Amino acid sequence: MVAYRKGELTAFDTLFFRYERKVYNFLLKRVGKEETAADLFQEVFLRVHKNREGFNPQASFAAWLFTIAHNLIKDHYKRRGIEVLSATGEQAVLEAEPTTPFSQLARKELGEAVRQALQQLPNGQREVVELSAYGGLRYPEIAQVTHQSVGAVKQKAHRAFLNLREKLRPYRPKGENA
Amino acid sequence: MNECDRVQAELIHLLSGNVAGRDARALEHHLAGCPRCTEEKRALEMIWQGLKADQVETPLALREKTLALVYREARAELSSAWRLGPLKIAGGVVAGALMTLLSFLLLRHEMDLTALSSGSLFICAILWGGVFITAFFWMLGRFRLGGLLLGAASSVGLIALTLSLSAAYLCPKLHVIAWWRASIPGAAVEALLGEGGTYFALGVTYSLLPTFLASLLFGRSLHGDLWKNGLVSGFSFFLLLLPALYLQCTPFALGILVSWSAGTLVGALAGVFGGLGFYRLSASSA
Repeated sequence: MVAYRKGELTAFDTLFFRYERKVYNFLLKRVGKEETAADLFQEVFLRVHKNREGFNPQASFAAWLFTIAHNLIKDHYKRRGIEVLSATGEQAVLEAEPTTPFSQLARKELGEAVRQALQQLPNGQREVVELSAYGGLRYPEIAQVTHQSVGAVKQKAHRAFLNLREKLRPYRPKGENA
Repeated sequence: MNECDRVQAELIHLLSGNVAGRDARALEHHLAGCPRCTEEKRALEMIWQGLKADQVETPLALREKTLALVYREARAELSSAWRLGPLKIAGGVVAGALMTLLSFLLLRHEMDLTALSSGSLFICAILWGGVFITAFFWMLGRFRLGGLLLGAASSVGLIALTLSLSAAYLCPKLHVIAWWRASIPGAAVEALLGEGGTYFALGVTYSLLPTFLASLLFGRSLHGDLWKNGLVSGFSFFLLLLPALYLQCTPFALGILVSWSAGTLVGALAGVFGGLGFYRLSASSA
């Protein structure tokens, strides 16, 4: 980032390729639509370029990057008058009794099942999980992005995974259920 | 809460990489001997893997489009970097002229203008105006050089100059010199180095605090290398003040101008580095 601020554009490439997948997945999971995620994705990196002078080299670049993404998502929902409430709906798949144990689910199906369970979490818990799993951020960085304490982030992460485990309990064979 | 409850509460933090070192080893040690907690860890690992599995690649077209967008923006910045629009040029000239006039007004009691011919005075005013106009052009044009924002450096110079000239207006140099000569260190320096030492100290006095304050104010904009920023900012102040020193030294020997200028430069550099260093220390500890 220091090199990039000095004008070395190749340094931007390095940062871009290091974080583009994480940013895209975070945006896609948050907004749910590819087109919207694509627009926001471009805006995120454009803002990184335009605001590069404002970045404190001592701070975490990942936290700064995801703060930009987080704020863009907030603005996106505000513009559309949508309040980001607890996720509801999307229950159909998990209401059916799954027949395949968790450990035998194909990778893709596992991802699908977990994603559906994630959609049902309260927004705050979901956001922490997404920043951690997709963004690769540590709790202090998540705290910085979401403007809360590290303790609050830790608590939400813990509750989120308890909820996910509960929602995915039907997938666990009788012997595996604790 | 028993030991297993405590460990299970920490498992997700362990899996997400938020527990490390001794705490992580303590958890692993417990897991090695506890089938129940190991099973719980396996269940959470599956969920974590499910999250990781649910990721997609950024579409190639989107990646290319985004990179092209940023590069286009960067090229546009570069091409406009060394150009100023007519409005900004006019603004810079007017601001520079006004600043020159203000400086003359603030220092009129400090200068012996009869010691200079009209022609010399006119040339001095033009040169001083030229320096001011250049400083304003740097500010308005957002010019960069080697990663430095020249506008920020010139802002430090302009603000520090305004503070310094105001100080000279409110507390004329004759009072400062009298106070300095009456003080113990001042008397010692005067005895050792003569008038040159006194004017060196005068230069430091009128430059140290204004540059320190100006650097604190603009610390956020002075990105990049501390030394480069300090030198450019310090020298921009010095060059802006040099005509003022020349005009005030017209009745004196050249040595006085040299001593006074040297003190000003030393004070300016000390002030800028001090202010910028203090700002960065405070910012990093915040």
